[in-house]
Formats: sequence, C-alpha cells, structure tokens
Amino acid sequence: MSSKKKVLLKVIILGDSGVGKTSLMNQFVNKKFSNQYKATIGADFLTKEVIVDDRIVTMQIWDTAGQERFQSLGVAFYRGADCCVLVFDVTAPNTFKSLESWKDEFLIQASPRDPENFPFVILGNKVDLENRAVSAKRAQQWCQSKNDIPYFETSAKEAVNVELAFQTIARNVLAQETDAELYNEFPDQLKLTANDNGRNRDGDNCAC
Amino acid sequence: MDDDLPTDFQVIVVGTGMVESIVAAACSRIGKNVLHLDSSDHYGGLWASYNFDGLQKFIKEVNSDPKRQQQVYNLSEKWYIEKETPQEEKKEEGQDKTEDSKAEPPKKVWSQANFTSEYRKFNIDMTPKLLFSRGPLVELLISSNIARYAEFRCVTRVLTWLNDRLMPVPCSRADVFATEAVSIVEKRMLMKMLTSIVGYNEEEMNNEFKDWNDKTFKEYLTHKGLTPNLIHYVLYAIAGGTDKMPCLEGVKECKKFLMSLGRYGNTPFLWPMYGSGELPQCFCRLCAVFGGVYCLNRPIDKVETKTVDEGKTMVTIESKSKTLNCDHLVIGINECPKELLSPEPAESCDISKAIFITNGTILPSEKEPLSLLRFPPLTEEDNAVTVLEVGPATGSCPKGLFVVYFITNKVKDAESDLMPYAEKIFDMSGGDQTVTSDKPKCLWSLFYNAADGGGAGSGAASGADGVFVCAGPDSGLDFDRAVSQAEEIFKQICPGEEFLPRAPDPEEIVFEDDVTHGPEFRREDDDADGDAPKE
Ligand SMILES: Nc1nc2c(ncn2[C@@H]2O[C@H](COP(=O)(O)OP(=O)(O)O)[C@@H](O)[C@H]2O)c(=O)[nH]1
Ligand SMILES: [Mg+2]
Repeated sequence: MSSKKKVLLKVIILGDSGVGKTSLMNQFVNKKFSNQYKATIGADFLTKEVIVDDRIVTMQIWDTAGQERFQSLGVAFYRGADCCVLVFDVTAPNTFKSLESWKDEFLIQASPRDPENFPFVILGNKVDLENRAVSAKRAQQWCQSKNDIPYFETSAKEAVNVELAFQTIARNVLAQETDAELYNEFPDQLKLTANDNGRNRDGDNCAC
Repeated sequence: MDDDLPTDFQVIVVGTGMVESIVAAACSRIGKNVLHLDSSDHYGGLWASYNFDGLQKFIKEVNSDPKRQQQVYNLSEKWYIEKETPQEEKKEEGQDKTEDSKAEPPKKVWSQANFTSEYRKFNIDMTPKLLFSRGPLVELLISSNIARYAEFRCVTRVLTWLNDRLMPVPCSRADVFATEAVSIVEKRMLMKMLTSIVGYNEEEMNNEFKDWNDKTFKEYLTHKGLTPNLIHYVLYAIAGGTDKMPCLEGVKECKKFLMSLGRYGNTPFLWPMYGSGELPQCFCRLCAVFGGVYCLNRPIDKVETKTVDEGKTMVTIESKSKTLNCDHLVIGINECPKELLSPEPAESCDISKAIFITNGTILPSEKEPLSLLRFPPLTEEDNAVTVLEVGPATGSCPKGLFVVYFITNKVKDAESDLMPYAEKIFDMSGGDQTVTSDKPKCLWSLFYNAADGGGAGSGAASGADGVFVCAGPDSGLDFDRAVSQAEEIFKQICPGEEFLPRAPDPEEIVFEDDVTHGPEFRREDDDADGDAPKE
C-alpha cells in the first residue's frame, strides 16, 4: 500500500532539565542554536515536515516548557504522543540515570496501547563537550537492554546527528503502523480556531 | 532538587484549579514573573479529573481527613458488580469465537477487577462542565491562542425528561422543523418567540420583556400561547430552569443557548477531550511557555503579609522550610490557610453531585452519543437536575462503558437529592449484566456534596492585602464564572494590562539573541559558556 496520505506525529521530548531538549528541537526545526537560554518566551511546540519513503510526515514536537524542572509535567502533556525522545547529557551521569524513570513515567502517563513496542529513541546530547562522563558503550548497552531502543549521540550545538535522530523516530513510528493508516484512538476531535464559523457546518445556524 | 526553587517572584499562585490557572497564565503572559504551586501531585485541585486509581485515592484521602471536607464532603462510593468475573463467563467468551460470527457479541460482564486493570482508561471529572460554543471560555481559548493545547467533542444531543420518558430536544431550526412532536402552528409560534429572545438586549429599556420583570419565565411562555410540551422544552431543557425561574433569567439563558448554535455541531455545547480537568493544564502550559515556574507536591504552611517601604505590601510564604516572597499571592480556596479566609463563611447553597458508570447509553443512537439531559424537578422541593453522559470517544472510560454526571443544588444530601433521578434512567438493581433491558445497568456510583463557589460572597475577597482567594467550582453548566473571576483578579494585580492577549504561534517567534546556524559560527569561547551548570 503506497498511500501518500499526510501523517501527523506528536513527538514529545523528555529528560532532565538542562540536557538540551529545547536546543535539540530548535536545531532540528529552526537550524538554530543559542547558548543563552531565554526564559521570556520559552519553547512551546514546533512542527517540521520530513519525508520518509516518499511519504510526507509532519512532526509536531512538543517541548516540556520547563515544567519538568520540578517534576511537574501534567498528564495533558502526554496525551496522544506517537513517540518519545529521551535525552540525557553525556557530561552529566545523573541525567543518564534518570532515563529509566523518565521512560517509566512516560509509559504510565501516556499509557500507550502497546507499551512493549512503543517507539522511543535515546539521545546522548552535548557530545561536542570535552568533559564527557557517560561512555557511548555504557549508553548503548542500556539501550540494548531496553528492547533495543535506537541510540544516537548528538550535539544540538554543532548539529551532529540531530536530523538523523528525528528522521529515525519518524521512520520507526511509521514502521509500526498497520494498514498504512496510523492508529487514531479518538478520531474527529475538534480544535477551536479563530475562523471556524465557516467550518464544522454539519449543524444548522441559530434557530432564528 | 527542590532547593533550586527560586524564592522571589512578582506573583505566586497556589493551587492549580481553573481560576488560579487562568490568573497564572494571564500574569505570565504579560511578563510577570510567576511561580505556580500545588500541594498535590496533579493539576486541577477541585477541578481535577482522575483515572480510576487516582479517584480511589482521592475518595480515601478526603474521607479520612476532615480538613479536606470543607469543599467536598459526604463522599459515598458503591459497587453494583462482583469483585471478580466468574470463571464460567470466561469460558463462554472463548466459545463465542467458534460460533456464528454474525451474532451480536454478548454484553461484556464487568467486574471490579476490570475497572482496576483498565484504570488508566478512565478520566473522571470532579467538576464536569460544558462549554457554550460562543461562551466566554471558548472565546478566551481562541483569542489567547490557548485553544491549540486542547481538543473537544461536540455534545451530540440535548435530552429532557417528558411524560415519564427521555425525549430529544430539537435544537436547530432543522431539528425543529423535522420533529413530529411539534405541530406546524406550534413551530411558527416557537420561531417567533425564539426570534424575540435572540433580539433581547438588556440595555434597551423598551424591549419585548419590559413588563415581565417580576414574572416567571413560565408565565411568559404560557402567555405566548406555547403548548405544554413546548413550554417544557424551552423552560426545562433549553433554559435549564424551573417553574420559579424569573422571566428575564430564562430569556438570558435561552439567548445564550441560541447564540451558541451553529458554530460547531448540532447542539450549542462542547466537551473537552479527557474531561474538564484538562483545561487548567492548558492555561498552566501557557504560563510555563512564558516563563512561569511550576512545582507540584509543594504544600504551603504559612502566609504572612507585611508592609514594606512606601506602603507596598509583600507576601511571604513558608513552604517546606523555605521562604518564598512575592508582591501578590493568588490562592485557591482549597489551599488556603483558614486565617486568610473571611471569618463568616458566605451563605451559599451547596451542590449535590453524583457520578455513575454504566454499561450503555441512556438512549441508544447510531453513533456514540454525548448527551446533556436536563431533568425538570420531580417534586416541589427539588431543583432541576443536570445530567452529562460521556462515552469512550471522549477519553472518559473504556469501550462498553459510559460515565454519567449528575448535578443539582443541594436540598438534603447528594444521595437523597439525586437517587430518584438516577432510578428513572438506570437499572440500579445490580442484576445480571447480560440481560438486555430498556435501561443501562449502573455498575458503580459515587455521591458527594460540594461547596458552591458561585455562592454570594465567595468572590475574590480575602482578609489580607495582596492576597487573592479564588473560589471553588460553581454549579453553573459553563465556566463563565471562573473566567470572570480570573479576569477580575488579574485586573487588580495588573491594572491597565490586557487580559491574555493572543500568544504568538511558535512559528512567529523571532530569535533575537546571538544565533548561530549550525556549526558555521563556532568560536572558542562558545564551548566554555555552553556548559549547563552541573552538580
Ligand atoms: N555544548 C553544548 N551545549 C548545549 C547543547 N545542547 C544544549 N546546550 C546548552 O545546555 C543548556 C541547556 O539547554 P536547553 O536546551 O535549555 O535544555 P533543556 O532544559 O533540556 O531544554 C543551554 O545553555 C544550552 O545552550 C549541546 O549540544 N552542546
Ligand atoms: Mg527546555
């Protein structure tokens, strides 16, 4: 089935505060990196179209908006995620140790249909830095032990492997779908937009 | 980790209920430095949704702690099904696969164990509410661009209880003309009357209703020559009133209903996906996107206000042996230390609520229905009862089940107030689930009472300067009151500032700081300051 139907994927990025989640998203979508973390307008979500085996896939990448800092992400953040990017900082072993709990937290909160085969990807970020503290081997071993989660070493700063990592995520989600149709647990949900008077017109106008 | 928590903010918001979350978002949006706390491990406070496990914990916590029974009390939970599915049932399921595949599958027999194992599929609201399609919350969500964080579903039908059975209420013009329950003459009369209601303008003194100030809506409808059935539809189902409803109130309610028609679906109402508890989280996200700091699991112990130089007040809060300072404290009534509340509790009529989980809809239809049912009072003393039935497509429960919410103004207690209504539409006997009857079976129920946050005196009042107490949920169908209260508080904290101006779309955000395009601009010193602080 070579359906060229447009696909929208909700991707969420998790990991400890400061590992580079926002930077990775910005690098992937905007091809930009900033050393200064600007708190005034934080990151929200960004969309980018990628092509996977000549299908157009729109990736909508959701940032934690900083709510992970004191473990305060609400369940609403996790709703309907199609895949999950787990990030740690290769120079900070604590952030690597946290991966397990982020993964568990995701599975509890998002409660995907098939948790065993849910598409995760692990990114070891900031490989451009000298003071590396988690070896590639250690990270790889851990990923293998977790049902072979794909692992990438990235640098949001120098745009190393960022494109490849996100491409792989999209590919892996698509590989799991059956019947060339993405599973949608709740079809026909309604989004409210400014000019919706002309749309959703299955109803009649005001009875007067 | 908590030790990293900064201590000085312009605004600290305690509690993540609807009002608090809207205020937090509004303050953060215009550049205030906001800290938002909640004593529990989830968002929503009195407005939260729970999965089945979370709900069990909530019931236990409230029932074992009198301090938590100020806002919600009289919780009484009841099962109508077995703990485990009987063994023979499982065998039957296996046999069915080999039998005629065209035969309708027998109704699933639910046990308490099924609820426990599928607990995550439940999202049960403590404060279920609908949104009028052109009501203040929908308009606010759209104008602020917070709508991008939420999904909705249209209420598919409005029902009422007429002549001892459930009746769909014609909502749109097409519905009215299609219905056989109403004669042509009645249709004309109805249309004429609805037109004058839509034309009603409070400001205009010389309107159609000027002589009806001291009369009831029912008197007006009767005067207009509407037949008893039509009066029933308009008074009970559309206006959600009782025989005592004042005319102008009825006119306003009807107008609101009519003005929200034709925007999204066949009825004027929307229901948030996964329940009303999602909505505060949408506002919190916006607050966070604009720099608000979030910290759940952070109870506060003490609040003090002091006057610093030039008569300015400063509020200090003790939390986990840390002192937090702010210019303005916004606090949910459920998080509020007693000494901050006005001494005399506001006189208000509390709310009686019930939640039922059933094995089918109250009135079968082709597609999964999402219903608003409005019961007229069954007896003189009763109030009107609002019923919301939501199914699996709303993310509220597993397939095969429905969650049904009942709300009324309290007369005696939740169970006495609501049971007679539940018995009209459910089979409460706890009998064999496979037997098909005309009513769905009730599998589980929870009755409870709640303080009415809409009652007089429960506004943004507080004893101390710089402290704003947010009321709990009110008994209204929509979020109007929460939105207006939040706006009031915001205007006092940030006079002259715009309330939730449109947030830019992510694509519209321009980067002003030193931006490098990938690797090209590498400089030595980048590496040095690129290190995130580590412990
Ligand atoms: N050297 C280096 N610094 C990075 C990299 N990614 C992010 N950073 C820096 O690490 C800090 C935290 O990044 P941020 O994206 O805000 O992390 P978040 O809290 O996970 O969203 C910022 O100062 C970034 O500039 C990277 O790949 N290399
Ligand atoms: Mg970030």
